[in-house]
Amino acid sequence: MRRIRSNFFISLDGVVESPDQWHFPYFNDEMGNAVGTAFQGNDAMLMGRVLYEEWSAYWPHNVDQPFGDVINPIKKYVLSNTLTSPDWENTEVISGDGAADKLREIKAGEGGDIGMSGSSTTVRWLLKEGLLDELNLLVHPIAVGTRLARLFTPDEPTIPLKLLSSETFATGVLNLSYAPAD
Amino acid sequence: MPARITVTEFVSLDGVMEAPGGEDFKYPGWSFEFDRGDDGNQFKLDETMAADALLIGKRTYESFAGAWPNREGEFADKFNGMPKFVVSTTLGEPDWNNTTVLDSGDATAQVGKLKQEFDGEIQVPGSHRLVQELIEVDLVDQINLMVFPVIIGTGKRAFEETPDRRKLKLTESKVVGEGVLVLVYERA
Repeated sequence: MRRIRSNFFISLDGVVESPDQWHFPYFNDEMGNAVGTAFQGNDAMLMGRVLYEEWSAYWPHNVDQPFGDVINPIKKYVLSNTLTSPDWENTEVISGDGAADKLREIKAGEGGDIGMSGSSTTVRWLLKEGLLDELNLLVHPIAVGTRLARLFTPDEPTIPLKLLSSETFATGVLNLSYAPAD
Repeated sequence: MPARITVTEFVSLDGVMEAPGGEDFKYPGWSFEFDRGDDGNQFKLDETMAADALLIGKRTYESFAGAWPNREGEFADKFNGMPKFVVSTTLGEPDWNNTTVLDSGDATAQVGKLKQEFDGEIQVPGSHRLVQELIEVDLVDQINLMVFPVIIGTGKRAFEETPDRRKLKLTESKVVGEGVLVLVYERA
């Protein structure tokens, strides 16, 4: 079974938007290693339309950076009802009422794990559908406090989790890995 | 030396702090569904014993004053005995032993004064709105969180929108019981 593994930079107050405004002071080797580890074993990426548009506008033109070498050729699944003909290489759009079933089929098929980076709307939907296997949070010791989007919005269903692992970095960042409870 | 103000909350992974021990809520007493283990219980006991006073809002007062006077044991003796300061303009005459009402209407000014005059550790459990106000004016020295492995999905959050960001320093972190995190943050 292929796992869907989601990853976020997140503040203590739950903000995931615009990490460029609050994340960088906390970046160090420990965090770099954690990010690397989170993507080991993945051979596909899953993302929402918003992230697809950001990345597909940037990475095809920036092949010389290390992440460009990874993200351009890798298989990309995009969850969207509006994106029809993606230009980015090796991209497949998943849409419509059958999206959850299609993902179940992909997970049951051959291949490595499927990584995610951000895409909070998609992650909330995956959790509701019982499709998410791992929720990896790098919790930064800051309350951002401003009107930036949070990972979890009000009026979600209640979802019990289990803590798979936790690690504390020298910077006070927590590396937490959760999965849906059994 | 001014008092130390420590906020202490039970929160879900999505930051909800409402009614972890009861009260009127979609999931009253939700924190009791999780095993926080002997070490989690010990943390709460040590924390409570370190308090010299409680500072709470009206709703938390009503919840505590409805529960603790009828209980026995180490926690109850401590809660019932120590001074309680309640921020409320509507509470009137409190029944709970050793309770003082701070009722001027300017909560942060009163707490600022209390912080200067009181010697020791003042703990602030629950008290959603009061905590937001104290964080905004930077009166909080420490935040103790017990993070339970659940996305509650609705309810009041420990950290609402504030005008400014607050950088913190993580001074303690451990896992207790079944995947419950104990986190201690101080002002950075």
